[in-house]
Amino acid sequence: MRRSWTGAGSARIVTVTLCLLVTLTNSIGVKAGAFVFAGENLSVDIITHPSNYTGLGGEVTVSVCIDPASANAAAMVIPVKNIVSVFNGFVPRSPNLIFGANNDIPGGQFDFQSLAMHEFGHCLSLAHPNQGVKTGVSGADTNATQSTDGVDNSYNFNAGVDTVDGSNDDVRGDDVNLHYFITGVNNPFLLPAKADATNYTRDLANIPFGHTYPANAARAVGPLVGVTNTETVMQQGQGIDEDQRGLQSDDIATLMFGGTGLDETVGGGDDYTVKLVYAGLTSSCDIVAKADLEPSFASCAFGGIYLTPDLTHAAITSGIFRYNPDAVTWYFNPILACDDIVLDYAHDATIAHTACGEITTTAGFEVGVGGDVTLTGASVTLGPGTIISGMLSIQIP
Amino acid sequence: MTTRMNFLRAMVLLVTLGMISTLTYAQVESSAATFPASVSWDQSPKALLVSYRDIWGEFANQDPTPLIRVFGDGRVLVHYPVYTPRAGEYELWLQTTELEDLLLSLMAKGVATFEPLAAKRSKQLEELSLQEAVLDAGETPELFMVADDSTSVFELHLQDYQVVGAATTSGEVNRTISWLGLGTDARRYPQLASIQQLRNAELEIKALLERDDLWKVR
Repeated sequence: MRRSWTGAGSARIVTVTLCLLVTLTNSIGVKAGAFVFAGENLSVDIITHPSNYTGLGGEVTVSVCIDPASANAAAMVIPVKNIVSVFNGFVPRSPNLIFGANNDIPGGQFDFQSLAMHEFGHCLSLAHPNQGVKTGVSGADTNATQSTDGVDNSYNFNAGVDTVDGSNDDVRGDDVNLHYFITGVNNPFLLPAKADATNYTRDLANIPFGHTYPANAARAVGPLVGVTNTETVMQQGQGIDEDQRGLQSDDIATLMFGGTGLDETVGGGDDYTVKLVYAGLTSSCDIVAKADLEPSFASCAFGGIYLTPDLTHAAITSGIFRYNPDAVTWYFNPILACDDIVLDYAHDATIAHTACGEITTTAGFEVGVGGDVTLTGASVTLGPGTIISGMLSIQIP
Repeated sequence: MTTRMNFLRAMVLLVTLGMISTLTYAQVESSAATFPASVSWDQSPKALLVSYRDIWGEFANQDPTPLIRVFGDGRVLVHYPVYTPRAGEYELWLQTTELEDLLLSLMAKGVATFEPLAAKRSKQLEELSLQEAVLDAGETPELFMVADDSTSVFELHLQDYQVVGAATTSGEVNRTISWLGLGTDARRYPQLASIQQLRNAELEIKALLERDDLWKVR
């Protein structure tokens, strides 16, 4: 958000331009990446939606909170607030992997914010685009594109000519693909303008000529298409001293597809957008973050419910992100990347802000034409979930 | 709503039937061994009898060294990777009787006879049974999943294992077992004996980490 003010004395005009990228509500709905619950046990066709989506279009609010009894609860606040801001911002970043001396993580430590981003993604409906660690899957094979093991009950891994698992020339036998891709493109490093059933698919028949399997947005695959240090947040596998705090195109495309709702088409009355709201230190919210000795490292446990009789759409009902505080030396980002903006006399310069949350205002707050906002009171506070698509002008008497 | 419930019920039954058809070659549950039993092992210092590690789902490039290794002479070696707060090598020694008790206990918990495929099918059927119960109560079944759960990996090497009066296991034992989400499954499916037993075996092995005589050697 960029803000400036002009004027002096008793009459001041404060102009705030909120970056669209930061404050857009998440539109979820296109078939990219993969969805939790989809697989052989239930159905490969399941598309999962976030908590509180019932099939009705509009804005879906998902609250996130921190269990106050958790170890490190206070240190978790800023990273969690930052994650809320990033998901609400809905902007792909490339590169989104920052290593070693180029990030703020002390050597040998593990970035809590990056980990929590990934786990929150699960609690919002996103699955791994890659195989990840499974029974019978290890090593380089974990980077192969997400799939079932097919009718032969055995994964068929072959990295193809480029020898990179998860790229578009993998040969996968009868493994049933679970990863959505752009029809005729098959490049998860590109963000489509829209993502719905008309252009997003799991069907291998829609792969470009010469490709043999859907590519996933693994860091090793990017260089094959000219992209470096970039990986989908939902790729399983984060390392020590690794900053991955920004979403990647495939994360966003998958959420876009989900946002097309039950008809899987952009423009239907069931389209929705998702807004995360930080609910504070409490255990009463849609996604609870907590420290726990039970997972050896970290996990996200969630429940779900079917939304449609044909069992192809489901919604998360609750989610708990747990991490083991004793597993590694955790690094908690101390820098708030967003803020609860207070516009008052102190704001007498152009300052970029990323809003964390709701706008709260004093009396005299007015919403202008086209989403512009005008304030004629003494101050305005922009808090969690700030959504302003135009210019915010504040008249301070 | 009734239509929806009926549809869901039909789906569950169809899936169940499909799964049952795949069970013709696999026993659903294997029974755990019972005492009395005897076990013998290579008592040399280099003979690895038991190893255990858990693979963290979201952690890339993990140290593949087992967390716990038990050797034939009773030495227990614990390896905490460099990125953990307790980084280093730790050691303790088991008396011969302690080692024998540990091995017999692990065997009694079915580590040697655990059948992953049968356990997987039992788990699927149990999950469907849970959903059926919900349907019977007139409610919509709830899905459940844990992402990034850990994988428990057990390795076992014995020269001989005998159970008196039973033919469950006999002779040399050399096997590796991997199970994703063991703790999660043990909580969700308390009726599944094989998973409960394997979880108990895991807890017994991990209890070595809490012993007072475990000391850091480097």
